[in-house]
Formats: sequence, C-alpha cells, structure tokens
Amino acid sequence: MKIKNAALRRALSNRNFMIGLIMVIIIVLVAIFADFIAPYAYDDADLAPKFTPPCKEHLFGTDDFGRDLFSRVVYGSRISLRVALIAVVLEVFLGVSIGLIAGYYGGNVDRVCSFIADLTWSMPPIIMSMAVITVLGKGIDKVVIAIAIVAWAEYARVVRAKTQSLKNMAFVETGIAFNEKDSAIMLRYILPNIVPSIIVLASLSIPATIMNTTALSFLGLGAMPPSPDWGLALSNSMAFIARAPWMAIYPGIALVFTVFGFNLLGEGMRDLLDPRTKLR
Amino acid sequence: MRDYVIKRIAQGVLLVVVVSILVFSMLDMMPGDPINILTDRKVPEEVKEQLREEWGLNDPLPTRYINWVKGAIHGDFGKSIRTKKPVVDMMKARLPVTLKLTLTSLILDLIISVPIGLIAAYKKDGFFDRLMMGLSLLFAAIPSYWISVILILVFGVSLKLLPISGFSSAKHYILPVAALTIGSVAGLIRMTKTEVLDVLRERYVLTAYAKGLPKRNVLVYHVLRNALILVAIMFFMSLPWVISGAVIVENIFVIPGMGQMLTSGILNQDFTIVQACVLILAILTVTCNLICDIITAILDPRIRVAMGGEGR
Amino acid sequence: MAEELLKVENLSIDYKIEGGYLSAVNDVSFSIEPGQVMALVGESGCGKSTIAHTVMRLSIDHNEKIGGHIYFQGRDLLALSEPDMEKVRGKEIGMIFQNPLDSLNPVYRAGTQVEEGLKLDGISGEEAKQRVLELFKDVQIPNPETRMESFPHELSGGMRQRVMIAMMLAREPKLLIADEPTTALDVTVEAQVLRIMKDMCEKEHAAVLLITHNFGIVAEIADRVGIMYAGELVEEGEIHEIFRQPIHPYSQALLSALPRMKKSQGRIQAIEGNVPRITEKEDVCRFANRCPYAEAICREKRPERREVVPGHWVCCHVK
Repeated sequence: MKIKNAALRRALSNRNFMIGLIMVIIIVLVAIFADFIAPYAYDDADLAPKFTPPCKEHLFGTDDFGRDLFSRVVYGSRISLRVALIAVVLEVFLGVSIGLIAGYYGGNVDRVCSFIADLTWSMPPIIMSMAVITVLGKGIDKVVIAIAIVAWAEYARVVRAKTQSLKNMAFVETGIAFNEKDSAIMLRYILPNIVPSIIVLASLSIPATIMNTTALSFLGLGAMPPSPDWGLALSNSMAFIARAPWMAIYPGIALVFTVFGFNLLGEGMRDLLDPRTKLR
Repeated sequence: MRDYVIKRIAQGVLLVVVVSILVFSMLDMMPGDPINILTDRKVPEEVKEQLREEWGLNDPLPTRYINWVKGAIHGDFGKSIRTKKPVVDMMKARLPVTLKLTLTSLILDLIISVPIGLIAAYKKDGFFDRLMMGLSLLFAAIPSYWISVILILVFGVSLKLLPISGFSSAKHYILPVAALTIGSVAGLIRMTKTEVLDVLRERYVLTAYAKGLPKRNVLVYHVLRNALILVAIMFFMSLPWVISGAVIVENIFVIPGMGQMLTSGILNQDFTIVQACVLILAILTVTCNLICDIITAILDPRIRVAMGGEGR
Repeated sequence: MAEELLKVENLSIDYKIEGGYLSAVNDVSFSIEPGQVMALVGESGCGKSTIAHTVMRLSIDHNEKIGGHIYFQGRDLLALSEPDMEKVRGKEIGMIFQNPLDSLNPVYRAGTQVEEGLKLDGISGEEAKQRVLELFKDVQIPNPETRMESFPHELSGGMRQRVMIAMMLAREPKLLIADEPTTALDVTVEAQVLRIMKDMCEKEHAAVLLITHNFGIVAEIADRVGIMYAGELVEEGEIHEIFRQPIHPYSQALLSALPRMKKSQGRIQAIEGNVPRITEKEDVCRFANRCPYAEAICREKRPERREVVPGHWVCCHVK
C-alpha cells in the first residue's frame, strides 16, 4: 500500500510518534471503557480478604480495604486523563490569550503581561501549586486550577514570541492597512500560524500535568479517598508496603506507562510539527 | 553590562516583593473571617477576640504586611499557629537538613549527567547517544515518589539493607539522595547534551580545527571550557527544581527538613509557616535565576552586545 | 608550467538526508597554481562552500558521502588519516569564515587566539607575541599592542576579520581558503579587507580560493574564476576572459544581474526560477529548466566539459 501523502508517511515512520500514539490510545481506551474492563467497582470494599496477593480473581491483588486493585488502577486512568485534559485546556486558553495580547500590543501591555508570567516562574511549580491550594483548599478540582495557574506562562511565552515576529510580516500588515479589528487580525492571521507550536506544547504538557497532579494527590492535597487516583493510591500503599507490595507496584507502573506514552507522543509531534524547538 | 545587572536585580527585587505581597495575602484571600480559619470551631468568641488582637488581625492588610516585612528583615517570621513556637527557630533547624539533601543530590546529578551528556553529544546519533536519550525519556516519566517507594521496597523491606526514615546517620542519606538524584538526572543529561552540542556547532570550534589544532586541544581549550560555564548555569537552574523534589522525598522518608515543614503547614493550615517557607523558596528561586542570567551575560559577550553593553 | 598547488578531481559530495541523499557537489574539477587567486562564484546552495569545507575536511555533521580526489601538492587530502590532515590544516592550508563574530571564541583574547596556532609550530612566549604584533601591523590593525589584549566582541567586524586573516596566515600556509569573507561586513570595510587579504597573500606567496556569491569582489582580486550552479562547475576561466565573454547562459545571466554604472548597459535581469535541490542524479543539464536557450538534448544528456578558448572551459550543449 503506497502511502502518497508525504506528511502521513513522515508521521508513520517517526518511531517516537508511533509508539507513543499506540500507548496513548491504549490508555485512552482503558479510560473510556473502564466500566467494561474493570471487573469490579473501584470502591467495592471487602470483595475479598484484605491484602490478597495477585491471583486469578484479582489480577493486581486487593488493598487495605479489600478492594480490587486492578479495577482501581483502571479507573485511575480516567481521573488522570480527565484532569490533564481540563488543566491543559485552561492553560492553553489563558496562555494563548495573554501571549497574543502581549505580543501584539507590545509596550506597557507587554511589560505587565511578561511580569505576571515571570511571577509564575518565581517558584518551582509544585511549590506554587501548593501555595495556591492553601488558598483554594484541597481537592482534585482545586488541583486542576492550581496547575493551570502555574503552567499557562509557558504557552504565553512562546505565543508572544511568535506573535511578535509574525506581526511584522506582510500579510498582517495588509490586514492592518485594511483597518481590520485587532481581534480579527489576531484570530484569523496570527493564530493559525502558531497552532502547530501550541499543539506540541500541549502534548508535552499533558504528561507533566499528570505527574504534578498525582504528586499533589500523593501529598494529600489533591484527590480524596476513596478516589482511585494513582498518586493517592501510592501514598496509601506506603503504610502497607511490607504486607502488600503490589499496592505500590501496579499504580506506579500504570503511571509510568501513561506518562512515558505521552512523552513519546509529544516528542514525536515536535519532530513532525515544530522541529526547530527540538532538543536534538 | 553594569546596566544589565542592575536592571535584572531590580526586576528580581520587584518580583520578590510582589510575591511576598501575594503570599502574605493568602490568608485574606480565603473565604471567611481569618480568625475562623486559624482557630478551631470550638474556641469561644472571647478567646477569638483576644487572639485577633494578639495576632494583629484587626489592623488593615497593608499595615499587617509592613509589620510582617519588618519582622522578616529582622529574622522574625512570627509564631507557628499550632505549636506557638517561633517559625524562624524551626527554619534554622530544618533548612540545613534540606540543603544537605539537595546539594548532595545535585552534585551527584552533575557528576553523572555531565560526562554522559558530553559523550552523547560528541558521538551524536551513535548507539550510546540513542540509548541514553531513550533511557532519559523513560526515567523522566518516573515520578520521584514512586522511585522512593520502589527503593524502599527493594532496599528497605526486602533486602533490609538500609533505613527508611529519619536522618540521623550517613546510612539514612542513601535512599533519599538516591531517589532525588534518579528523579532529576534524566533532565540534566538531556540539558548537558544540548548545551555541548550547541558549543560543538559553534563556528569557533571550526576555526580551532582550521588552525590545525589537534582534536584533543580543541576539545579541552574550546569546547570544554565553554561547556563548563554552561554546567555552572545548569547547577543554579536545577537547584529550585531539586528542592521541590526534596519536598516530596522528605515527606516519604520522614526527614525533618523544610519540605516536610511546608507540607504539614499546608495540611494544618498553619499560615505563618506556609508564608515563611514559600517566601524563602521564592527568594531562592529568583536569586538562582538571576545568577544564571548574570553568568550568561558575563561569559557570553554576544549577549552583552545584544543588550547594548560595552561599546566597541 | 608551474605545478598545481591544489587539484580537485571529479569531486562529488552527497549529504544524507531524511529519505535519501542530497547531491551537493557533482563531479567538479579545477586546479589552483601557487600564488594564484581563484574564485568560486554561485548562488547560495550551489555547493561552493561545501567544497571549501571539504578541502579542509571540516564538517559539522559527519553524514557525507565523498567521491573523487583533492590533491594538494600531490597528496590526496581525502585519503589522509586524521592526524596527517591535522598537520595540513593551518600549516599548509588556512581558512577564514564568513561571520567573524561567531568564528572567534568569545572568551579568549584576540592575541591569544592567534598565538595558539603559533604554539603548534613551537613558537611561544615572547617570540610569539612579537610575531602576533607584526601580523597585526601587517593586516593594518591600529594600536596592535592594545588590540592584542581585546576580546572579540570589543572589535568591529572589519577588525575581527583582520584578526582572522592574521590568525590563518600566521603559520604561513601555501593556500588560504576564504569562505564569503566579506559578506557579513559593511561595503565600506569590504574593499579594505579584500585589499589586505590580497596584499598579505602576495607577500606570503599564498594562493587563495575565494568563495563568494558576489561578482563584484571577484573582479577586485581574482585571477581565475569558476562559476557553479546546483553543485556543478559550469564555466571556468581567466577573469578578464570570463567578464569579456561569458559563454554559459547562467554566467551571462549572473553578469547581467550586476548593477550597472551606465544605463546603456541594460536593465538588471533577474533569473527566473530557483536553484534545484537534486536528490536523484539524472543525466541532464541541471540548468535546463531555467535556461532560455535550452534544447531537447539538454534534458537528455549531461553536457561535457569543453575548452572553448585555451584556459576557458564550459559545460554546455548549446553555446
């Protein structure tokens, strides 16, 4: 089967992209069809004696409440994906808007926006999220907001730089000459040109977001019991690590698999869409 | 050049000031009366009134902020709401612990990642390079808390080799430092490789070869020297990140450092502690970024020229 | 007849790229005699810079396939081992690059960088410093004693290029390769630097291989000129001969694209189309699709090298 479309051919031959895509598809399918894949509900306690090691009825064993670990891990994927998706959408919205405005208008508007962006960089992301959670309170929904507040600046920076350079190009100047509204220029001329970079950033953002949200849940600041969130599950497992090591192993493997898959996908996308930012 | 440094320092100071204002206002940003957040429901109203007076909550926000800053400059961050002990005493005890953990780990990181990154860059696209890049992508996906848990499982529980909590003896160092190091080494390898590649592709390396310098001389006098400068930058850039990793590791291994202090502060809603910790960490991060920018400017004169520095 | 200093014979260079090979240089042959100034002219991407770097065996990414020979004083440079090539670089052949700001290490002083080469010849210490001072005077750097201690970013573009010339001629090589030496410089400085380069080379009896896209500077200092298109050498000859009677359609187009002094010489002719990137080598004339004189044979067979007038070679079916 000769694949004529050059872009498609490149995509299919990029190893990172393909492996990443397969891994991500697996996770997404698991999340969507969790109800069918998981043999039990994730909060069904006392299905079996507590701390049963992995066996036929319970692939990953049971936890300290007698819940089936396999089902919990499967449902955990839903949480991770949902949280990552919402956070990234928020970040992109915030970051792209502010980046466009800062890059387009320049001057003092730019200075203020850049300063605010620098503020989010004044502390390591986890610390900043922790500070935001102190104000907003604990809970997975607050975690999403906290992560978004911390991460939008990354998009804003890239969008701002690209807007600045695109602004000077002829096709934008034509728009200005025709007296088009600023918002129209930004949306119709500039935005389409920066979409590939945004896609790359977003796809690399997802794994980072998953890592950060599970970390916060691990610390007890995010998801609350009986949520099957992987970070929470891992934190839970520590007390019983001697009795039931499987509690610590399987959620971790699932987490690593997911993040790694998205990492590969993101790297592959960067190769294909925006190779200039490649790390070589 | 001097102008650039002054400008950057001013920016940094402004940043810290704004952050401190935001951090201090955390208490007021929360819904409800501050006093209710800080005390138990069971506390009677008269006691609350007394505490309000004692903690100065009746003063307006700007006044309170200025008092806090005044105190901070003199090393007084107030008292912990739960334990009533001065925050600064806690910090004095815990900061060295965190620093020990962080710096050991960072130095180990550099010792491991710099040679690997160098070789990967020099033999780009070779087997070693691709192997290292693949491994680092994989390791980047492993969160430090899972590494910790697995390390505990293997070394602490199964093999019963090493202690898994506390920080009193040298043996106690091994697992936490290992967890922290493994967690950050992946990123540093990639960073080193990129920086070295950048240097290798520099035109002045070609010039050096064109002069007839043997490969060894080129590597040592031109590539390595400029690359080491970049290593210094990497050190300061990674410091804030490693500290935030330490926050998690401290919690897992029950190490009495700043990270654990911060986390329990948040869980207990002990605001004075949270405010003090966050402020210190912000100052540290801003300072590190500043140092990086300044080193870069000093050592790469092209940036100085671009900034409108020394005249020709 | 003087023995050739540099003889390039059937040189072909292919770059490995995603999905195949890119033919950067295809079957190029030319030679340079001692003390002669030879210019290679062509648009960006025609392969001239590649040839220059390959003579010195300097490549950034080691992904080329090289065929043919480059003889320097009888020895095939392409067959030399790396240690032997190291001895050739700098001592026998020097090279100056396009952008002098990038080409000098920003953390070392100018004088130090020139001394570095001298050390390889066993000259160091006070003797080296004296030699550097002499060199700086030769390339007309004002206040040479102070300038020796300057960092590259403290020098203007023209001065940096002069430092480069000094650096590369310090070891008295027989051939100097200059890759677009004045492209990054102001026009006013350009003439000066060229003159210094030419004078220095005459003084040291060094030959020059000048790579440029600017016909103007070729007229200034070259003895012979070769015109390249899409990796091939399409015309070669003595400078006055080429200017007087360019034969290949591409050479004619290049010369007519030069701004004229007098209106009667005609309007500037732009050349239609773009330089092709050749990924599959075919037996055709690579200029055919932009050539106003192209005929059927041009698309079927690659033209052979003919000597039209003694010393004047052309690769064309038609002219």
